[in-house]
Amino acid sequence: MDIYAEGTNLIFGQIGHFLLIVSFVAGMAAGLSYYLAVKNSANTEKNLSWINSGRKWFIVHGFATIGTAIILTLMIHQHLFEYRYVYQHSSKQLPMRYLFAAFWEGQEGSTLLWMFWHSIIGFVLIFRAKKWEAPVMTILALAQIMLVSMELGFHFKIPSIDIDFSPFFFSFNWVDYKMGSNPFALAKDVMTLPVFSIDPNFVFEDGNGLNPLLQNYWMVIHPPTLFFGFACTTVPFAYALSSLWLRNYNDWLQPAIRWTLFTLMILGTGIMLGGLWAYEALSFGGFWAWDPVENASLVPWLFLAAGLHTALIYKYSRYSLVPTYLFLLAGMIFTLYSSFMTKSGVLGESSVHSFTDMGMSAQLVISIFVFLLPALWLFFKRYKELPGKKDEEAVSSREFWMFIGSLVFLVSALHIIIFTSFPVINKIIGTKIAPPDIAHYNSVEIWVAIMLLIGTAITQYFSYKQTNIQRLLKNAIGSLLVSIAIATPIIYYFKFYRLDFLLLAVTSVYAVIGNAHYMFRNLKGRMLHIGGSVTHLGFGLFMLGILISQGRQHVVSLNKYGINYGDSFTEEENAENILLYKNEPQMMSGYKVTYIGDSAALPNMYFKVLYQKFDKNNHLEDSFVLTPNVQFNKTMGNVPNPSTHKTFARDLYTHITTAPLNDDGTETDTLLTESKKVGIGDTVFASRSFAIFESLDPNPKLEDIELQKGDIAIGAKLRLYKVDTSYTIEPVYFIRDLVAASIPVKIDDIDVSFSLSKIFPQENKVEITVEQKLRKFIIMKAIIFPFINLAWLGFSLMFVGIALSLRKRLIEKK
Amino acid sequence: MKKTHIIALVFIAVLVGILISMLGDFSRYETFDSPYAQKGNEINVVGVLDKNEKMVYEPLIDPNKFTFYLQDENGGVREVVYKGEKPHDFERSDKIVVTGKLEGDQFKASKILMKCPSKYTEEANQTTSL
Repeated sequence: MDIYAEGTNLIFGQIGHFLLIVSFVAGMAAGLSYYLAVKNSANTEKNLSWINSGRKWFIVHGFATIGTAIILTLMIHQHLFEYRYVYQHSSKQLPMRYLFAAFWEGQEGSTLLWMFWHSIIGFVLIFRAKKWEAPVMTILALAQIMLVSMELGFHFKIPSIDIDFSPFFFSFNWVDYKMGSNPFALAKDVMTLPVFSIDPNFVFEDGNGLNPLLQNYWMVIHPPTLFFGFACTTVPFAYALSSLWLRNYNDWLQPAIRWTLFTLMILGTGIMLGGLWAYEALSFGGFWAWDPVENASLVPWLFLAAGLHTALIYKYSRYSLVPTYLFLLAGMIFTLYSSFMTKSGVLGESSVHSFTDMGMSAQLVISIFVFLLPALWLFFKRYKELPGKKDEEAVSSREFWMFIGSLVFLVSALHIIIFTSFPVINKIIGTKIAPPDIAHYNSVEIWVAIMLLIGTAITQYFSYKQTNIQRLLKNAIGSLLVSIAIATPIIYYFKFYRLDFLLLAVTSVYAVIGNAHYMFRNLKGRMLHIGGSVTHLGFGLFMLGILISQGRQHVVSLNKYGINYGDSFTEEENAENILLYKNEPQMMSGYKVTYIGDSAALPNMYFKVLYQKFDKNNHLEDSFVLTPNVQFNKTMGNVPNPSTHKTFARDLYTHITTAPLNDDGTETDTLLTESKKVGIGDTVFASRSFAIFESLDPNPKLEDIELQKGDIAIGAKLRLYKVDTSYTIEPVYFIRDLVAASIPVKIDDIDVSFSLSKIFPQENKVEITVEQKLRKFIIMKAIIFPFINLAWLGFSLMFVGIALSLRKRLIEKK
Repeated sequence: MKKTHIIALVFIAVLVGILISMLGDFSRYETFDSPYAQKGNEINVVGVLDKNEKMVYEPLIDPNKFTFYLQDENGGVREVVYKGEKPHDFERSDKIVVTGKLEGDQFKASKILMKCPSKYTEEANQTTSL
């Protein structure tokens, strides 16, 4: 506490909050200037001067926003725990590489991250948007104002009206309202802890720390990428809305297509990194669990993918302008909706990883309507005058089938968002519907994937406007036959004998083969034009990888051999955890698995698990050691981390579910003593053994003690059963000079000792005490994901394909 | 009517079809004593760990059995049996959502979702499911 001399650190918060206010005011000035530039677009001189003013204000705004982020970073770096945000999200032990992870762990930090990316995007737009600068920047500035308002933490009075109807009653009050949550607030000002009333100058010695689940490199790279993607969705929205606003329906398309491609690439990567993280850490239900938070981030991507396809249709054939507007506008609206769902606490009971409510729900809802209402209003106002062909596209045209593809995207997006919104619907109309499970989403979305895959394979063989049907059929059917030939062994090997699995296998191979064929045959592999084909081919591989790895993932640590773990266990029930005693191998799905030891590198405890595979002749074929670990954390409890053995054909996970350790990493008490009263014929259970009480022996043999006169010695004959042998043991009860003692029998190989602790002559019963030293053990789970690498390869190709398309759109001249 | 309109309508019909066909199957948030739960339907119950009762997880006997008592929002208490490992930090959770069915006096859970008390902490929660 003494290192924080009074007041010296207050300057950080003061500068930080000051920059926030500058950012807010400059953002408003920029938005207003750009708005006036649009309003004065007829007057070149005025227009230019307002644009100039807008630029200056936005640059001030952008640097203030970036400055805010730098201050918060410094505060976390300097461990200024007098600040609530720093206290809640970091600690002294937190390694510096997680500095940024702590930065965006909380709502305020993640909003700041979003604002940061908006600022960067704004700088780019100032240089590149040319005649679209004024309207597009007006909208971007408005988005920034909404976001900054969530950081301000201003208190003010708002009017509140209460109306009761029976009896009619009307009251008007001023209530305190807090706008936003300020990341620069001092802990003593915003946290109600008794310690602050005792000592107002109290400063926490250490912070609450970063959740250990989040202490990994994914937390450093996933949120910035995802929020970059979210921020990017603002740009296609801004172009679409600007075009409606200015009634300029053609020129906006080229920049909008470029930004849509860029957004798809970044947002897609952000979502994918989340999936990779969930897959690797295995703690959020695997690669994709259809969690509301995951769904909410996928939906804007689907809308933009639909919008990209309709935009291309319009570019080449003048159809589908109306849906292009709707899809591109929806991209940002659903980004805002996703932020509302994640941050308002509405998902509390249905999501694994949502924030809790911070009393900002109203602001989050308002931010949606601030963009939704003008978008709808302008769209309907301009609807009648939107250009485009009014006749019908031919069924044999490429645009027709691309349009169908966009509709499939739309159905998928609506399905996901409606079903994810049940917590919101429940809140509004008071129903009690629980969100559907993973199986529901999979069972519907698999058909979406099948339709999209067929579309990507066939549509390219169509030409815009009219197609030579014979050539189309020859190509499409030719590559379909090749695909079926390739898919058949896959289906056979993985036993995909289910209509949807079977079709998904065929169609994903079809997407790969069809696109590869088109890419080399028709496009001759020209780098400038193959972007779409590469993306679609990648999608095919991705879906094939998902189908095999998720559809045929299996738990190998099935507990069906060896020891019977008690009466409650039956075959059908899931028993996915296996018990391993140290140095005692078990067979598990072809592997001989042994827990061979552990090593501590606090706060992590590593458990070494040896996997060995033998061939028919008992020669060692394969051998590797996996070291799953458990991380100890005082505030958050222990967190297990899996360890994975990767080959091209499969990933093998090993994951500790239980280890006999205390929270601080010390071993638990391993000596277990139990007594049981038994009659002749009764059984006493011990670790990996049991003993049956056969008889009392009045003349037991004693090895170390010579019997004296007056001594009493009684033995209990026990038949001891171990894994492969059984023999008789005899613990003895012994009295000399009125002092009783037990002489136990120790069984060294299983660390158990039996003693005769009491005798009940009239009942003809005895008490046997079993003392066993528990052997070190772990309970673990092991899962195999076959061919998951295909999915990663597929996604990488999608990324490259979109990048190639973007390059083409950047090179081409309008 | 244009072809695209017809197709769009077909797609909307498909979507509505999915919704309606699913509505009957949805799991609902219920309490243990609600008539819907008593019929043995799959339900989601929101509640807190009843700390007066015993929580049993004995990995050495059966690493795939975990039982505890859950008090739902109406105060009803049932023993919950989960065929799987005890989720890490179970004791620390302040709110628990279990998915499963009532079978006699017991609630057989297929999924446990915990909300941790660490406020403002994203992704602090864990799900465990079979």
